[in-house]
Amino acid sequence: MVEIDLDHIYKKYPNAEDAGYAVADFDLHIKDKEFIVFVGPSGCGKSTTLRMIAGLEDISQGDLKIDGKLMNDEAPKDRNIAMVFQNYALYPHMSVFDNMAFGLKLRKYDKSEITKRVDYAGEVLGLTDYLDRKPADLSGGQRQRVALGRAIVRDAPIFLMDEPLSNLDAKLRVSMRAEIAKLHQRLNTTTIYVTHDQTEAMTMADRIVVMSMGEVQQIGTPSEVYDTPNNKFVAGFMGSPAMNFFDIHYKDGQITDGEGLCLSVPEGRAKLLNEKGYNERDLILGIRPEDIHAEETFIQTWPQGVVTSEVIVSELLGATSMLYSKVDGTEFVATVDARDFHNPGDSIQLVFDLNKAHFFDSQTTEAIR
Amino acid sequence: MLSIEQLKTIYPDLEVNQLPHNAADTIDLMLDNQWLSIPRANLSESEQALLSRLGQPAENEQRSWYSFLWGLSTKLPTKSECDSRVIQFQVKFTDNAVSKADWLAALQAYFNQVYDAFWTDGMTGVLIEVKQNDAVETNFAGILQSVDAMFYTTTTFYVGHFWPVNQMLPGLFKMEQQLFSQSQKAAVNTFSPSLFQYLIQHDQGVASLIRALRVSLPADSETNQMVNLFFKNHGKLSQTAKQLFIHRNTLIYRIDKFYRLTGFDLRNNYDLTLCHLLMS
Repeated sequence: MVEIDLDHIYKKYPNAEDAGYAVADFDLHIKDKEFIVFVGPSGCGKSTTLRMIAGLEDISQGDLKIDGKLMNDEAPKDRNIAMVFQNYALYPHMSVFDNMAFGLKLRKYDKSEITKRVDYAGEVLGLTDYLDRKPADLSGGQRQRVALGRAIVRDAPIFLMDEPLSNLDAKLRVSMRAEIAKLHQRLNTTTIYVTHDQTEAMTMADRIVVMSMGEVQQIGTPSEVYDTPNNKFVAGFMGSPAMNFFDIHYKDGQITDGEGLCLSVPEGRAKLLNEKGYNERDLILGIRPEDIHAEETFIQTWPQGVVTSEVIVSELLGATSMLYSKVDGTEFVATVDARDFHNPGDSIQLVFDLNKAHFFDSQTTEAIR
Repeated sequence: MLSIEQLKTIYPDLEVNQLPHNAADTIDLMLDNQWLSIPRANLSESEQALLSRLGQPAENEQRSWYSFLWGLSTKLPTKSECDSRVIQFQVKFTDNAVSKADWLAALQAYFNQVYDAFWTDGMTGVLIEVKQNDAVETNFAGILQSVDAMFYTTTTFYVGHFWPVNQMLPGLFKMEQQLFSQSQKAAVNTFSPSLFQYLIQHDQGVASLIRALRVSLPADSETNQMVNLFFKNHGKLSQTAKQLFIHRNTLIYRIDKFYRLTGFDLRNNYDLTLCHLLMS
């Protein structure tokens, strides 16, 4: 059993006095065997946090505990952690077996123990038939698996993965994503995975930590961060294509952008906005592409949500189409049925499903709920 | 052993740095994981000799490559005619139990052929790589991350250029040390960007290195045209191939050949710009 506590962790680099904190007030309890994904744009502090857990960076403030034991000053080797990086290099002249065994040999492990661990890693990763091969004779995915194998043979209860799939092509990334998820289920290790790819976060995580500019924006399950984002940043970062945003004014159950966009807010949502004191105030409306509909039935059922817009471009993706449109100068995208094909310049009616829309404070960008 | 403070009382003009100064007019030695640079001007010859030895492990003097590169001997350390490049490394260890010999062995195993590899003090060392005819650019970032993950270290690489092993090499190595001591400190520091940074900050000091680079590059008009056109086309393969009236794959073949010959990868912007400037 391994639980990790990050108790109000801060990181400030000594040579960056004016730059503020690289990581600020990171507070998280990671449960045993949990798969946690840190996600955020480049420079948001996710890798720095991972390196602090590994002991490769000092913690400026706050406590890191593993199984209740304070680890701030423990050497990396005493943390019992295995790491997998984005950029890996295999020994070109060694077989797959020797590549995985090399670290254990250096640590003077018993030969039979080395064989046992490497054979197990080979079996888990589907590399049993390739143990005698050299890296040059392997595919990209197999090489990545060998890199994972080098971490597995350490038999550590904690796995830290820093963008391990970023160097792979898109197709391979998708298949390796599933393999890592399966690997986690099989090894039952507590895993922290860092990525800037929100799809990886959504598909792999038990819980996601969304970060921006050194601060945690939201911690939650994939559905929590997707369906109930804490703020505009999380709403915009999670989801592909991204959520659409409109600067609007709310008054007495109606929202308007001051030009052509004028919609009725469903009763329940309007009640909440009124209670929170947002009547007659500027807001940000957020709506996901899949919550904008072009079907006739929606138009008839919800006429007060109809927006007339101009098509910019329509991208056919097979089952669905991405409809890039414009209303009053604000561009937005809708995911519509592939049969709803429109030519650029067409004027069309779309329904904004405001029951599923998100409202954000225009000053703080925090979600109103 | 004296402390830094005690040394400062003896040598008031001593400077304490994170990296060696690597200048001809100073002596660098390591103490308490920091580099001390002492100007030679105020030192007697015997003091210079004594201080120079303080920072170096004694056994290195038995190494022919060490003696050659550090100017203690003019005897060529190898009879091989293969070019070499010196990869300098600086390592911060977090685990005292890690054997430095193991660390070095783990690094060395990544290279096809190595003339020698050794520590020059507790934190820094060099690996002298033999140039391979079928070489592809080494994934230094990957090596660094893999070695660091294995040994819980934080490593910085300073990757030199491939040079012939002759009497000019120690001087060129010294200049490379100078370039790297002033380059921005990335985890992997390579030759061309460091040279550009140095040239922007200084107007002299590397003239002989530039001369040596010019001599090392092919002088035929075909290669010259390829490099210059590739530069003018911002590294676009198809456009350059079209203007050279050759197939794109032929151009790729020639670029690979150029790398094998010179150690400069024209697909790297810094290398391309440097070669363009040297060859125009």
